Amino acid sequence: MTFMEPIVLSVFVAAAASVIVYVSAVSFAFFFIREAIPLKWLWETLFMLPIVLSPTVIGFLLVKLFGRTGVVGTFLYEWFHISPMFTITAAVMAASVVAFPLMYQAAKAGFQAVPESYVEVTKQYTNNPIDVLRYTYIPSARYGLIAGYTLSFARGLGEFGATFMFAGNIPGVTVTMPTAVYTAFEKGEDTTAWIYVTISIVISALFLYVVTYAEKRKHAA
Amino acid sequence: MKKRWAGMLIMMLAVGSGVQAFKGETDESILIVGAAASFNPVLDQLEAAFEAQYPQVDVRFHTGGSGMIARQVEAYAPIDVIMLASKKEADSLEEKGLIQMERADGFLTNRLVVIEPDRSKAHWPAVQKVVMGTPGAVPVGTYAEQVLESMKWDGIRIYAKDASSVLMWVSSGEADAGIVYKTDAMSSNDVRITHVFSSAVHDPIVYNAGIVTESLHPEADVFEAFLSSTEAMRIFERYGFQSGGEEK
Repeated sequence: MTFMEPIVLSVFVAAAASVIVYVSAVSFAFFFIREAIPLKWLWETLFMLPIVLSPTVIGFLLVKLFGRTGVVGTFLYEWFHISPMFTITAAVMAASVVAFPLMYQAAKAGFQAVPESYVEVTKQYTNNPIDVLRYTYIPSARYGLIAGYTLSFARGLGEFGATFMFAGNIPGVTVTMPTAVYTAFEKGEDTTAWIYVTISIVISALFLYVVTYAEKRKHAA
Repeated sequence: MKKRWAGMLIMMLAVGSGVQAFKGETDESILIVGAAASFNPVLDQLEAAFEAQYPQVDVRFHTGGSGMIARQVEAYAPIDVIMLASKKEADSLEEKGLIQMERADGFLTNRLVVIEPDRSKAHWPAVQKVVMGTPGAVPVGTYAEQVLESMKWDGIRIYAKDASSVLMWVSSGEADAGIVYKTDAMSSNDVRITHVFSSAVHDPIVYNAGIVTESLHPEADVFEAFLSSTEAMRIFERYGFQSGGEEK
């Protein structure tokens, strides 16, 4: 395993997950805030669960669902002959699940703060909900969305438990920075661990700075 | 305007990498070996020695607890060869037809030892507290309990979650003594081995290797055979393992 691989893989996994999470969380938040959804409380509880659940619970469920003998996994394997377990796709899935609540929460809070009058103005020009989202909700909530996006990116970068169980710990394939720290510590290679720890702290601190900045702008706006 | 371009660029990069990730499958030329964490110190040398002989094979070690690797094999994770520190797990995988073992009695063994910090005042067995793995949860703790029971030792037992934690407790001087595998003790510079237990007083500590039945990798059996070769044994012995079946 080269030294850079875990860093590149971590950033790659977090970036891919953050896009999936952004698109899905923004869509769900928009849908949930405007429509009357039956059992809304139940769905929202489900959405927010990964924030408090141990990643090992998520890892367990991912293996049981998407493993080759799992509920969805059996279907994927029988029909498409694919199995996500122990691939980078698995790492992206794990990171997406844990990052989703952060983005959802940010999008929902941001959209709730959009004044109804803005929406009314847009509605005089268009009835297409996509346009309402694009020209009213997203621009008005932009700083909250940036904060949410950054936070979910950073969360994906730090995912360990679910990744370890579902994506494995294979050098160059699924070893991300958190798993590299774990393995280096077990091997007694403290120097290697320190380097990854330092890089993780620096990257995460930068991200959190962006979050604070965006939050400040949000309140100023 | 500039901001918009920057935003679009970031989005495009991110989407691109996302799309690529979903096309990603584990490369079939890679031989994935699921190895128990206790093998961690030897893996780099083992990989170098194997790849020197078989340059066309790219070996990668997936390391974790033996139980975790066994569960992952059961979930059909694309592991080709396993090296486990638990005979129970290996046997159960073989019973289910998930792996094939050349030697059911294990290809390596290990010893249980007492470690003490560099500047300890009390010495085994005249110590008040001993740190060990949690019996029933980790094999190293179960073996340690068997040893302590056989000698009716009745001091204070501190249960740690695994051998690495025991090493940490002892090397930091928090406890007078700890019980770990010989291989763990040899991997640390901060502790001394002060006693080696007779292997007659605990269940045999064996390591099993096996080929995953589902594996399509042509070199899986080559790697498994390599594990018992003289060259591999020399590496294992350097780190404190003993070859299987020769227990004294």
